[in-house]
Amino acid sequence: MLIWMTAEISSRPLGLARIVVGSACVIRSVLAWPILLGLTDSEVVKIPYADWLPAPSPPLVALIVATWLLSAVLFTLGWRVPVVGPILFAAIAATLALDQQTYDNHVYLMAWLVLLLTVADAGAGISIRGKDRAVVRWPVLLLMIQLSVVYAFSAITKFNELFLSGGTLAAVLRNGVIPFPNSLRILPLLSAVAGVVIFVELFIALMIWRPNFRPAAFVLGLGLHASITLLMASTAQLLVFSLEMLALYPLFLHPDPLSLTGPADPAWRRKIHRLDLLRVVRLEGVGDELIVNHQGRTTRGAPAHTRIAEHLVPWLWFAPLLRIPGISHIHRWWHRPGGRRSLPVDEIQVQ
Amino acid sequence: MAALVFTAVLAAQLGIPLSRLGADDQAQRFGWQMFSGSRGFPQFTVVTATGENEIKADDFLLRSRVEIDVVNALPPHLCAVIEGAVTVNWDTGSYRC
Repeated sequence: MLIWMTAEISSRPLGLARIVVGSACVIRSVLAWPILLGLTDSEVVKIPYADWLPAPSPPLVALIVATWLLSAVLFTLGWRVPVVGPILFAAIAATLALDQQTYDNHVYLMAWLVLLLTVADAGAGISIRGKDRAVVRWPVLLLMIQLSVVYAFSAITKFNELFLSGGTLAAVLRNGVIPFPNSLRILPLLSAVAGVVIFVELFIALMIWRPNFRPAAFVLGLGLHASITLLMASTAQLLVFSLEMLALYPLFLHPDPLSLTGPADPAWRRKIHRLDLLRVVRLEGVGDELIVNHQGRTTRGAPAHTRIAEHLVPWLWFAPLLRIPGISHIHRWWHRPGGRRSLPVDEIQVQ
Repeated sequence: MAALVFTAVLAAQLGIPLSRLGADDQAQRFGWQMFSGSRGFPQFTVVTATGENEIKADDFLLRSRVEIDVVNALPPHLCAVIEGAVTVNWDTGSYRC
């Protein structure tokens, strides 16, 4: 167990997580400016955690936000993460400590993720330094555990009368990018949706660790985050939360390389290489049919295409949708032998 | 050293949200309690020499978050910012300025 925990693994998925979380930090730093500035309004009550903490003032707010923004940009680029990461963490922690009203679950989660990514040496992969180096597994494991902890506690705390009745959803499903139809604002229906939400959160928390259920967890996660981001108010803040969570999904992908047989077309091979940000695809054989060997299993045609797409950026977040019955049938038909798409040229782009 | 850090972080990851479970009927910070319920803000009334005025709590809060204990935080502030305030009343209590 100790050997497995301290084993060296690829830093590419971790680097990808750093880029997505860093981007979320950049967005949130911009959103923080008007929120924190509101604290300097004399009409607004101040609720400090301790009397000795400095009172919010425009210069202090400007210092925190500027530090947050600059360090978030550098963190995203992977520039000196061991130095920039703690500075970014300090800026986020200062925001949370400034007043009890500045608390948001997604900002608290951001602090956790920046800290864990820094400990995990997330600058080792996909950074402006260029050259990757391997990282140790145990801090990456902590990031994966963090995902399960957030979903699990979010689900557990929803087991209360108000949420299960649909009352909470009736209140929060409004003012989103997509208006929630009033005709569907019926408590028995929303109560059923509330049950589904709890099931989905628990399913992802537990089953994302099981390879057989992982694609289903990805699909449900994508659906959950798309719906909360689009149907509820505070879209930008919910987008930040969704980015934070979805950033961790690639860490769960199996690290075994995919051996790929495909067409000799150089353009197709270049495209695969470009999208293979995690560097797991090995372009080996040449043939008309797409064949993938991964984890000791050989797949051909449409399933092979799905398996490749599940490891390419950005398709890895969407490709598990191709496994859904109905969509998978259309996908297989599209890639049927002798069909228009039997040769996989450009297929990744089409998906 | 690595084992110690791993264990300490794991303990914090699980221990902090566990400690926030069931502490109150109100949503708690640091517990990943998201859209899990809410307690509505009470209606505040400020009594001055000239009469009673209903106050919207939102006007004096940075944001209407359910984790905020407005009953403890808001009355002293209303006394400070509303000229001539004598008493702040709400559904279940009152505060003398």
